[in-house]
Amino acid sequence: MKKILISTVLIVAFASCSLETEDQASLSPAQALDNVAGVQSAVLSAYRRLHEFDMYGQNSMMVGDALADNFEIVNRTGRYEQEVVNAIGTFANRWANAYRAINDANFVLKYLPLLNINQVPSTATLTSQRVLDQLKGEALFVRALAYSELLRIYSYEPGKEVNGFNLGVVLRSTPTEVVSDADKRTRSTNTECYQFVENDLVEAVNLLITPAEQTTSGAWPSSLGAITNPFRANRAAAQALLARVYLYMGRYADADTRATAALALLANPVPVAAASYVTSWSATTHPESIFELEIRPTDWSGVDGPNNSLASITTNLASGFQYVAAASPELIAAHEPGDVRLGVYVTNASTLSKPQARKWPGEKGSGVENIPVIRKAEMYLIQAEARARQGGNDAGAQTAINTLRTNRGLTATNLTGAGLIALIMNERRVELAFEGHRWFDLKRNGMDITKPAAAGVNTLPYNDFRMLQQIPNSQIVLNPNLVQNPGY
Amino acid sequence: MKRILQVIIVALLILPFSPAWAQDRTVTGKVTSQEDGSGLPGVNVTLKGTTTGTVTNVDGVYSLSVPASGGTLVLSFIGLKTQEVQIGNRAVIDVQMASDVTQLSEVVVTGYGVQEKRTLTGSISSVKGDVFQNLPVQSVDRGIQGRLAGVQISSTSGAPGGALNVRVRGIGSINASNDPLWIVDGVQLSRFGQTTQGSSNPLAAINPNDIESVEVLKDAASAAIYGAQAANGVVIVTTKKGKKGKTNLDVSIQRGAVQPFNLYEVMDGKQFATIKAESYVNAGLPLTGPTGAHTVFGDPNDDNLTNFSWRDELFRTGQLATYDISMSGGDDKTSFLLSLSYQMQEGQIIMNDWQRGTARLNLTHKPISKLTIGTNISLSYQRTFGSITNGNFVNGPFQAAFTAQPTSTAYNDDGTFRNPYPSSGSGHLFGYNIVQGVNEEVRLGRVPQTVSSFNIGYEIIPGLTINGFAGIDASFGTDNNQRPGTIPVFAGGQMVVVSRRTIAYNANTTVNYTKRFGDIHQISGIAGFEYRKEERGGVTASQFTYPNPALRLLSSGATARPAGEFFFDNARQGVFAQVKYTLKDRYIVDGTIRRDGSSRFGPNNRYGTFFAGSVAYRISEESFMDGITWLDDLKIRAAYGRVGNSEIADYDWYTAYGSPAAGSVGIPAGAQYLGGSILRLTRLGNDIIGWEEEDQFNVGIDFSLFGGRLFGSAEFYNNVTNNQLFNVDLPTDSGLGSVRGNVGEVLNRGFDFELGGIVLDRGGFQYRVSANFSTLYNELLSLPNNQQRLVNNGVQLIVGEPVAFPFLLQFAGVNPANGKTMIVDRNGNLAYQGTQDDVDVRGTYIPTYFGGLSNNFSYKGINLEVFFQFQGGNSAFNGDLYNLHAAGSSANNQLVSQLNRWQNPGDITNVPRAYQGGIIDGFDQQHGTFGSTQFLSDASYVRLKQVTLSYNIPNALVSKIGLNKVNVFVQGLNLWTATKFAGIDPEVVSNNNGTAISSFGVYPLGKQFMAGVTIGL
Repeated sequence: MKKILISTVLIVAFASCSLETEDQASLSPAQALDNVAGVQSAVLSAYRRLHEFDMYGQNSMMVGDALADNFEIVNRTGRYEQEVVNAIGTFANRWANAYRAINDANFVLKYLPLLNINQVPSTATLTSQRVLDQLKGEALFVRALAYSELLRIYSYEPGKEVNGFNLGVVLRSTPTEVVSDADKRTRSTNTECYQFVENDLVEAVNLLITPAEQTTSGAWPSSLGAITNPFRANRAAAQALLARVYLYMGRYADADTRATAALALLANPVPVAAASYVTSWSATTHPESIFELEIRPTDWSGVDGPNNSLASITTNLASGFQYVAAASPELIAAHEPGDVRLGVYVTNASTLSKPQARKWPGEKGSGVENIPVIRKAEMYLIQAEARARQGGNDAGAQTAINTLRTNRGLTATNLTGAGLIALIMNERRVELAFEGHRWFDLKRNGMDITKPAAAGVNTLPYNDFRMLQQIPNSQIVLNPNLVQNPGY
Repeated sequence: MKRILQVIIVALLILPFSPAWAQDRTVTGKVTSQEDGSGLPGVNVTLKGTTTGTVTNVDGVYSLSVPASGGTLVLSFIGLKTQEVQIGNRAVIDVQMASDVTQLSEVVVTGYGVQEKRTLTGSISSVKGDVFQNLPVQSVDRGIQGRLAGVQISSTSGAPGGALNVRVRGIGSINASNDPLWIVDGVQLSRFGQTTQGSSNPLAAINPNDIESVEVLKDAASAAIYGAQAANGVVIVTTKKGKKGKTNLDVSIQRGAVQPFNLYEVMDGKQFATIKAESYVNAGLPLTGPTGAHTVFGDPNDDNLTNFSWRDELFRTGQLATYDISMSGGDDKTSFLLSLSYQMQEGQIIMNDWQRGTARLNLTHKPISKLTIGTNISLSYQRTFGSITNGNFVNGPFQAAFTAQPTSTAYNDDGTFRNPYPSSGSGHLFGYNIVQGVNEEVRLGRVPQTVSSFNIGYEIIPGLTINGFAGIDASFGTDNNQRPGTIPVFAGGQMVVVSRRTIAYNANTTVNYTKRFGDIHQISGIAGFEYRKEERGGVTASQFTYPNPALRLLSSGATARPAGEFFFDNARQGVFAQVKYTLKDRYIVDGTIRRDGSSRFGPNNRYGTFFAGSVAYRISEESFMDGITWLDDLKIRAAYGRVGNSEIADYDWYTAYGSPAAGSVGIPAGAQYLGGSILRLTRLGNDIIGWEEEDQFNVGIDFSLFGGRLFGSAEFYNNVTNNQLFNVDLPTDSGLGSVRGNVGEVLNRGFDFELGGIVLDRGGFQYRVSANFSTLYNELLSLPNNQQRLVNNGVQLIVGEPVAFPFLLQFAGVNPANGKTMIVDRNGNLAYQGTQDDVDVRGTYIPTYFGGLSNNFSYKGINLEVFFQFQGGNSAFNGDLYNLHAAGSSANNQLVSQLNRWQNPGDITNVPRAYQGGIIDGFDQQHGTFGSTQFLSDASYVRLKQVTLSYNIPNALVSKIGLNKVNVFVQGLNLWTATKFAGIDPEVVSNNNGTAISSFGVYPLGKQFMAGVTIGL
């Protein structure tokens, strides 16, 4: 009896004692990336980072207009109010999310070469090697896009430095996989950084499939899912981004070459016709997109529509939308008579007293829509500006800008010299308004920022320290090797 | 029959004393309890210096023959203070007896056993359940607030059923949990609440009225037997057991009300329109026209200007009700306690309420004399209709009740909700009508929970028992959050359902031994093994687009949404032993060791050893102390030991690559791009992380003086936590935010004082005082790599400072010349704008002292308790003021005090110039990213926490209607507060490790008033 009791007591306590756990949510990086589907999932992660709200999902598309002269605040919700008056603060904060995309890309670039090529599927169009090349090219493209975004926010373009301040951003080409990888680095120079981006894109151009291949049925292995154009990078997207990067670097001949190459790869290089310009903005896929980020309603929580969508920032098309900013009167005035692009700004006497931009109508519902990151129109603008700024090729610049103008309801221009350059800059402002370019176009040319009257602040001279954004202060405190931008 | 039995029992008890027949006169009397006036049965009544004596009968009545000359009666009973009464020539002598407040002979519950308090070598504070019996509190932590030295308790939410922070001797850990280990009848509770629809408290599953005692193990000597779980202290809750004797039935009924207090005074319509117009004019913005101030906010000179109080629409006086029934009793073999309760409390905000039903059966049975088996079964069901709090949420009433514009109403003329709010169409608060939102959003949490256990004990030989225990804390919560389509911003309607389960079980086997060798040596010990496993999981699902708000099932929604699931588990096992040796009842030595393993660490660091050693010396037992008659008891003691903390996330030690959740908030489905699944690094692991270790040193003195009139203890502790489990921030350019590491040391040092006594005891009137006071000094001793500063989860840490402090610019008021706010820069000069270099430590968020003072007055069955609770030395930052102290610069309604804005050169005020946008010449008047001490204030407070007035209706009356006991009472909670805090409630300042970092929209406490009656059958 006694023994039975004691053993009962002991059994109660010793039953099932193990320190094993069953994490059902994660793998080691080596396990996760030992197959081509896993590597592609890492590539897709990098794309997903790009449409976070503090990347192209919202801020990248808005802050360049708010900091410059295209915004007029309509409803004071706190959003973009400080940007519009260029207060001193941390705006356009890409320091975390851009680097997350970069780290995703670096994982791909580390583990992709370790894959067994025999286990990579192929198709009639693409060999196994070309499937791998495409994934590598996409990783390089995303990394270059993220770095170019960081550079235009935090650095002066090479040759445009103020007081010789030539720091770029922190460069990382290998993934952060163990703690020691997350070392505290210094900022490389802007020249080194642009060189890094250029190298990535030149390599990506060679690796990526063409738009024609991308649209060929069955080109991509069905086991790897969709590679729908223009939602994943192709050769034209890499050429187009390289053209933009060369323009920022002031390498105009290269910019022209790459923009031309990008257009040449497209099945239809012609910009959207004037008659369909306004409706192009409510198409799910923008007809001019060379590279576009796809967003689905499941990517957002229930309140992201009113809280974070581009449609909520710029319109009151749905209940709860904040309608923070309208087009400034100065932006409207920059349009020539007959410009079909005026059609995206809606005013009516009864409810909308300010011109409401309808580039972002949230056509997928609840504010959801895809984000065109690089459009054909930008290529013509790059050709035109690059040719005009090189000098001696005003005719070529006119050809490029007039291709765009005639598709926007305007007459061809025959301006030359400084007049032509001014016209091209104005054309950029009008064409790319509410797409986040304006501030950076002025900055890369060393131009002052003339503020809209409604902002109530003075012109921001190019040499004002606020031309570069503040690196988040917590990072400066954390990393003694990280130099803050001047003035902050 | 019952009466006859009682008479026989009394007769049997009296028989041994029958030789006293020869005495020549008789005194009679009744012995009653001083606390409640009830008759005390079984009290020994003896004639001093003789063997003559008797005991009181069931009604407390005695009768004793005494010599004609009288003499002295000695009345004694275990747990009561022995009394001597001169007989004189009286024939009737009624005596009131008081509890033996010295309580040094009392037994306290310790780890895996019980010990006599007088031989304790460690630091244990305890509270009896009577202290919070029938208080309108939902959980025991609220009941013991302010009652224990060294235990700082503050609410994290005033919501009914809401959570509290309990901190035993400071904040030892920066990133791991600082919650003590809670053990209810041996069951180690899970730390995790089961609903997010209100503030959720895992302890609310236990009815406080079922609790017999609460013991807090505060130092290594008492807690090291819990090893790796002991660093934050251990709280042992013991529920009531049945006692041998007749079956008691107690019924308690209470009703009451709860009221908000000290709400923000915000502007009315005219005031608001006035300051808005002024802010527009100052910023060069138009008054009229489509975007003009008059159009958006109303014209202050308009006689028909709307004036609507959102605050009054949302706050209310809520109802409280509690019903308790308990039955207990037993015989030689079996004892039981059965209790049922229902409690309902409405919040001070409309729609918000909390209800709970509990059932408990505590059963003990001895089939043979050496064997004891028992079970404690506790079931509870909580239903919370919550409120959005703790954030700057436009759909949270604690934000929007104050910020919604008084120039717009919540209703249309026909009584329907106005949409969109506000009437100007400006989209303020995202167009969300807060009154409609609070009325129509469903935020329902339902949690059934059981905390139950089984135990068996067998006495192998006298003094040696073997015990087995198995217990479980299991809860299954379901949250339903409906955002109905009637609210335009939730176009079509949205429903989110979260289903959670937590199952934590622990089992142990212990061998307990105690043996006394003559009068000299006493030895006792415990050895045991324990295993604990905790598993948490759940499913989240949502659906959009509903045909009607009354339809709330997921299956009624037309738009499919992703579903999500989560799962975590951890396991721990340990072996432990404790030995105590007592020599001559005065020299005591005690040693404890425990080895623990946890699944939360990598294989190389999985196990840790924890220990404690302590000594005590009962000086009052020495013969040379015999002459000091006023000294009843005096003991000094010292203890040193090492305990651990492993309360970090479950899988931190390894690097994880996985699928992240989709959506920036809420729905945890796997993220996708272009329909393909996503893989990314979700956590950077560190496989060399190990236990946080806390080295604890404690010295104390316990005393009792003047026959128990004055008693107490004083203690000093010095605790150093090593190997802090830090989230070491990584440069975000690495693509990651942080990694876990064992770095840094934190010191907690302080004094704990407990003092009790009888101030006055005359003519049946007694005034007792019980007080405790604690000091706390908290300092970060070191950081990784000898750094002096570290940013941890965005919070600044500095060596030599407390672990939580305001890190702000120094506010310097408003420049009388131009109405701009200023700060003092690092060189002591005034400036409009600060930089990182001007930011500095501004005090501490951690209270440096705290305590409680209980005053108890009793007279003939009337009892009045007046209890104060206080804490101080800390500051709190009130984030609400970002919205409310904005000098009219934003679209939010604001404090009436903002009318003292700067208007003309020379104006002296702390409210800047009204200026739309709040940015004057590029300078943020609230100091932007860094913040300033503008919204920081001293959060010290003294609070009249509780007043209870109760009356025991005299037994003579009660027994006439066939009852045993009737007690009626009225009480109030949180009746009065003295503080300098610039916010609603200095106690509820949202938490960061129990410190007082305020944030937006916290749910303050309310004033509670209750009246009730307890009836004993």
